[in-house]
Amino acid sequence: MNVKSSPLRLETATTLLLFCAGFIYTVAAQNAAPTNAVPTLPPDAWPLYKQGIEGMNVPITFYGRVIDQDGKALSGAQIVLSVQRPHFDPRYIATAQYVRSKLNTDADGRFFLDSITGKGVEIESLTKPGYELEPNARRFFGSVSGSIDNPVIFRMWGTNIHEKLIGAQKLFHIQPDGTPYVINLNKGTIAESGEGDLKIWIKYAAHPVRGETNDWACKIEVIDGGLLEEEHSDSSMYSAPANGYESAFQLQQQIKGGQYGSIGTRRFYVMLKNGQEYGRMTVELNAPFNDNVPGLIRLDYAINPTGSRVLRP
Amino acid sequence: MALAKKRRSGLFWVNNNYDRWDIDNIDSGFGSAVWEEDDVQQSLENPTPDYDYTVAGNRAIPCPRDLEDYARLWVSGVSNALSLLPEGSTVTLSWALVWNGQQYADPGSPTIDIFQAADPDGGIGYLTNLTTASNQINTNLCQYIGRLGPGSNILLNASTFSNGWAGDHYIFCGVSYGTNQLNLTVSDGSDNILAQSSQYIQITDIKNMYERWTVGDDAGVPPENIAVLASDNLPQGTTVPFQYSYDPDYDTNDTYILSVHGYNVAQWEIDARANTAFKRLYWQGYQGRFGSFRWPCRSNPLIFDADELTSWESGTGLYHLLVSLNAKYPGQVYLFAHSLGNVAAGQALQMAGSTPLVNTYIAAQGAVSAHTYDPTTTNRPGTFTTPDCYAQYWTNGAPCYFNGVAGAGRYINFFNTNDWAFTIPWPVDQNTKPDQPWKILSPYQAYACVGTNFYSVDIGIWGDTYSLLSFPTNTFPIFAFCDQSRSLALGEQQNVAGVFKVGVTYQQIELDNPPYNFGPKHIYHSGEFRSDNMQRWQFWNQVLQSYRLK
Repeated sequence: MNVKSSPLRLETATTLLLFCAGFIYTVAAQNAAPTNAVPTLPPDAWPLYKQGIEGMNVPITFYGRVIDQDGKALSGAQIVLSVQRPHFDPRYIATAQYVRSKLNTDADGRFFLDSITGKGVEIESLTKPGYELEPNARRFFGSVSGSIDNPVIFRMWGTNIHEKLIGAQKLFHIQPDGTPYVINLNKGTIAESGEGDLKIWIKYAAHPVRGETNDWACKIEVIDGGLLEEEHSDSSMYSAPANGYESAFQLQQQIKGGQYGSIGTRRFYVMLKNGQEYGRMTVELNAPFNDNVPGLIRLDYAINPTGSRVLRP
Repeated sequence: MALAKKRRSGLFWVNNNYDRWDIDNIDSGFGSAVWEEDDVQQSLENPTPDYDYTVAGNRAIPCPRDLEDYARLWVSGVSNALSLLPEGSTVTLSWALVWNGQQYADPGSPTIDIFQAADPDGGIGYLTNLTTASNQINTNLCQYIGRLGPGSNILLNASTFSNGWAGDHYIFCGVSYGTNQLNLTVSDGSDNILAQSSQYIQITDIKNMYERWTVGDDAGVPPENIAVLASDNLPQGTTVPFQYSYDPDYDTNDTYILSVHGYNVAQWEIDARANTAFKRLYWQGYQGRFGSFRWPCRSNPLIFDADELTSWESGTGLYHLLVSLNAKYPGQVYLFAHSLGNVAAGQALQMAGSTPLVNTYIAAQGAVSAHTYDPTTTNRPGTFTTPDCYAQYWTNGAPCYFNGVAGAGRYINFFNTNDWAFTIPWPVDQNTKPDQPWKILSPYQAYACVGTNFYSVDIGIWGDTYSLLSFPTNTFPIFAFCDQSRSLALGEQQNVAGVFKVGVTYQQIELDNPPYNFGPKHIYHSGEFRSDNMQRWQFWNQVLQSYRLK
């Protein structure tokens, strides 16, 4: 028994002794709160909680790589990482220590963190003069992330790379009866006919009966172009892919009367005018939207009219 | 069908809270200090409410968070005409003082504090942009113009201002209650009025702007089954709790958002968080009605399970309140619950049976087993010693506890896969069920599970007495004290099916993703109420979008 552990063990022993006589609460409270002290867990609980909480701290292994907008390695980028280390604390059950490390990327843009235990890693900052990290870059990671062969990729953009994008946030009320609506992204308008970039429809029962199952369908078609869904939330969608576009997105599902159908919030790259323009858009299709609006399209988009696939504003 | 109603403009709340930078004790273990903006309690350290906050004796704004207590004031078109005014002309702000042509004493006017606006165009960047907000609280950049109270005035074309003009755009906060017409007056050197414009302003306490419902605030007493309006901490000069006027000819179309708090919050903190929700919804353009539902939780992080029991029990009071609200605002009641408040919320909506009482329910950071809604979500790692009665309530093969609930028209899960509470203390709490005396801080009681049976154990000097706990009578203590959740908490789990899935689409918002960026630190478990509006407006915008009110 070392000196530090003596008081704790003495207190525990006293508590256990009196516990048998049914006085644990009084004694524990007296031990815990002499004057205006924060209440604490009884010492009996400490080993179990300590094991449960501090057992979450495991060896950290983090392999990362920093590249530029063209996929080339960026050496000399500085990364500040913070490792979260939960500890048992009888006042709060758990508190956290955040151990900060500063690393620099090597000639191949790589960095590596180990020799520390913790529950997870947060990228606090990633900097290099003349570059900016993509805003949606993932920041929170578990204890083991990436590998030598497959590191976690961080993309930075030269601060001088900007494009003038045409963008808007739009809400369109529509009838979800299968009528196709044409949306002109440059003008930000919707119509049942005429020229445009997108053709969208939703089809749902006009008078659904509560509880009965009904078909719900929708389609987003790019006129003279295509769209490609981005499913990674950590993508900032600053660079439209060259290939992989489909002419349309379709969803068919069944919902019950009384329910509100939706496609959720989906993000797409769009190729317009047979590849003369590229862009990105976030879309929600809802029907019914609420008691007053039978169908609603929520659009948030940015188009580069120059033909460049760069979508960084 | 309700009639259209004219809303009163110019109503704003007094800035009488304590927005400050504060150290989060849980995130600051072992000497690492994590600071966060919050609405803190008045204390010796923070004795001064925000409307009187000073730095080196000069009026200042304590932190960006405080800016959510400021509204905009424009003086348009005057600066262009300044050079055309006769010598000695004045441009002043004052409260209306004239009645029947006579000046009179003015005890009814509010007092407001006015600062120059950081936004060059007088926009709302001070509420949405951190850089603008930082400039706004820098009094070297945005000067304190002055305090305008009853009988006083502020000269805007004083020589003390740069170029002799205070500016076209300002922000102001309420210092004391009152109602009057704010006048902008341009006079010549002989006090002849050349031009005048006015705006009605009413400053009141924020507790007079929304309803505070409670089923009890003493954690030692079981919750009441009927919620009443809270009558504690009423604003000065108020003797009756605020309640919205109600006229069925006008008000049935009003929307009503009811907010339910989590655990480990003191009574003042529950109100403070409701205030924050109200303010941040206001800044997102919400003009409907708002209420807070208080249930008797303890301000003690060590007593989670006892508070879970209270939350389950509070479901009845919440249910009755929702019935009442839905009768007043049919189809227009929206429920927002945070953390352990989702236990009460889920229970209340289950009690509704097949009658939707709530248009849309947002379960934010829900501290309830995900298996109560969807038994197919993956089990947590580990060995479990109790049956999973959340997933199969309560016999083998039975559906989950909240199977087929229909108390809300829409259920939406706001979750964070990195949430502090659900990745650190919550699994330990679940793993240490059934509770032993040290866990519930009671020397004479424990809980046990033998096979598929749960027991309450009375600990006596001469031996322990086991009492069988049975479903459905003892469901709440079984869930709170005995039964381990094999799943993640709802607030950590993505792709929860059941009522959270419509067609093939999960109704969910992932808070660890942009633009919310809620991380693994403790401060993010209640992130929507903490920090500042610049960093949290996206959350509250999403709340309104998820409610389909925006």
